[in-house]
Amino acid sequence: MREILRVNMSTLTISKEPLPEKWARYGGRALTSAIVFTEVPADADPMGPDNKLVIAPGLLGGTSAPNGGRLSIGAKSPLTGGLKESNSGGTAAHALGKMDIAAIIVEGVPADKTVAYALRLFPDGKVDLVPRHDLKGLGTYETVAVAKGIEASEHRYSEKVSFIVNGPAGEMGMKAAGIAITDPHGYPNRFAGRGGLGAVMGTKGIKLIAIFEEGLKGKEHADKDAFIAAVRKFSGALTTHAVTSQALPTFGTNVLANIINEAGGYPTRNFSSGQFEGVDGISGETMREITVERGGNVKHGCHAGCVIQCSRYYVDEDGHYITKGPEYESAWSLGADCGINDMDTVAALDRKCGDIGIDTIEAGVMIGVYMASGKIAFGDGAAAMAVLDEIGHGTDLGKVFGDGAEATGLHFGVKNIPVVKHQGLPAYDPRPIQGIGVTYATSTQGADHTAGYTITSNVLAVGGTVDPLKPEGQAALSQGLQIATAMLDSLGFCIFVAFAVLDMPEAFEAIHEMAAAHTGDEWDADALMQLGKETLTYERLFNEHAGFTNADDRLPKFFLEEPLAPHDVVFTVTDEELDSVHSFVPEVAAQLGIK
Amino acid sequence: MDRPAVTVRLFGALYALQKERGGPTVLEVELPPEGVTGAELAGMLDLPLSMIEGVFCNRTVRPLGHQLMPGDRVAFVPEGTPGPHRFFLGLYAAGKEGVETEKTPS
Ligand code: SF4
Repeated sequence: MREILRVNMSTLTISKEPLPEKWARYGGRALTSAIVFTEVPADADPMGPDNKLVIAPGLLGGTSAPNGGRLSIGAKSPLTGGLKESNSGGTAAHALGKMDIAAIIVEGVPADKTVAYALRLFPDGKVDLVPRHDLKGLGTYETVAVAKGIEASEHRYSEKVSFIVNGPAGEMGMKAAGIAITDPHGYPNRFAGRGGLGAVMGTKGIKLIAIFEEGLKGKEHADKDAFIAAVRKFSGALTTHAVTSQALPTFGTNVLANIINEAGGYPTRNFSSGQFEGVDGISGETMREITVERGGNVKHGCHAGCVIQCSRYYVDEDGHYITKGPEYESAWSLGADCGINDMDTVAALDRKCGDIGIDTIEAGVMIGVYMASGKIAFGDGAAAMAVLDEIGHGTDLGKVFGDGAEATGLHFGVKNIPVVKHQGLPAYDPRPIQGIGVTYATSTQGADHTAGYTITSNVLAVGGTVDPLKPEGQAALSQGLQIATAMLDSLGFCIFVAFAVLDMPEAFEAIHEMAAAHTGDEWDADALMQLGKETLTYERLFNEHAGFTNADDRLPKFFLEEPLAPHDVVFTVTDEELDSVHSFVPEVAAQLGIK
Repeated sequence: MDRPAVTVRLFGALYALQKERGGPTVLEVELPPEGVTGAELAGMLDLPLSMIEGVFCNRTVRPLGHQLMPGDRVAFVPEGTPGPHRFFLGLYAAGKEGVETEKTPS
């Protein structure tokens, strides 16, 4: 029986309660979004006692479902003001799943704002909250090193522990702060980066969550044989599909750099061009060559049970670990968007972001905006590092930078600030890749489809005909993909399984077969898509209650007015089309009995 | 003729294959004035069609049956582009069309 672990930081009390029946089919993002919708007033101050930090493994967390160990962290976002779910790899989700914890809800704020606590979960079910002032202000890597050492002397469980760590940026309440999660080697290099959730964790006074795993058993299944059969089917699909069996394991997500650049959609120097002449220096192909030459690890999973294994470690010339091989979005934001074409520089910036606990995407977009102000030059890696140092030191200017791209752009009077709902745009320019623009603009929404296979076949049908430079069909394509994403996030699957799922019917079947065999409930294609739609409905309604309107589902004006080279196009999807993507929300809200 | 060749880039697994062979990953290839299809160009470069999902011609994804003309900027994309971009960029569609599509002018 899954439980909710409730931690009240105002009273410093901990309690457990059964997961409410109405949420029995939820995990991951569905659960964090449903809890935030239900328990956090939409007008709450994100940095105040009424906001809650919710941490949830997916529905299949703790099982052997391939790539099923992702973690969702949710709250009202200090950056966007809306409901945020940020998703991460790392080992914590499976550990929580094995403990039968559906979600940790951290609520209230401590009376003493100077405190730093560690929340510790032990394999025997014991949970405690201990002051750890020695960790206050430390970077994420040092926090883990110190905590591990001390815990090792105190506990026999120390060898197998997952940490969820807040960096100094989060402790200082910066709106671009993320939360780090340790990987199988104990590096805090997986991130729930987006939306400033580190700042929320900072208000709660929690520096560290330690989950001791020794002796924890995998979860029981309602039908073990059927579960194993579905796992085999799913695993077989992932290990034969070209994306999941070849491209990602070989080059990581950064294999996209050359492709998006070739498409003219690789935002360069604060979104002023769609192609970067220095892409070769920061591409996935180059990153692999450098890493292999230096003897670094070029293929591993971010958690046990990942069969795709897109992760890698970037190492220095002597083969010493620097950081996780930067993901496509990080290599882009800290590279092309800042005009930086050197992988070692990008890796150093990536490590710095990880250590101070700041979202790499927001950090890179922010530095690009700052460079556009003319205060520092595009391409100046040392100046970019100095910006991150300001954040780490918490200077007045560092607090502006730490609040992200919009705060920095407004402070320095920059005209083109690439944000939607106050959050920096990731690594694809919406002008030559219009479907991405729809997703950016509308974020939490869904399609008016009724059946799972209809969704996937619609995605594929539309995907077969859209012209990336034209508006037609983009809304429907974006909708289908967003519903599928929300579903996968809720089950705990890594989003990269989507490539096989969308192409191979047996992979899609295997997902509902795993869900059914594990839970004993009925799951089919329609139910999966309903899960995605319900998740998006909570998010959309919360945002409406928080004051968001259709006017917030728009791209900044310069995307509509300033043509982007080399295609010389602007974003042309109409407001009506953007607004159409939310049409299913009232119906699903009525089904859920929420308004 | 002022534009006798195409510039060809190879990405991902095709990049790795070319490196293994000791060849350059950005090439200049001379074409006949009437051009060649993507599949024909792949054959000229000894790139296995089974590894290719689409071909960029002047920054737009095309199926392998697309006619490439001297002066074009070309890049071969292997099977396995992650992300929704496979759909958003038209790679998925290009892969499905393969080489069967009618020759279309550049
Ligand atoms: S494919 Fe990559 S991101 Fe996904 S679970 Fe595996 S290592 Fe983590």
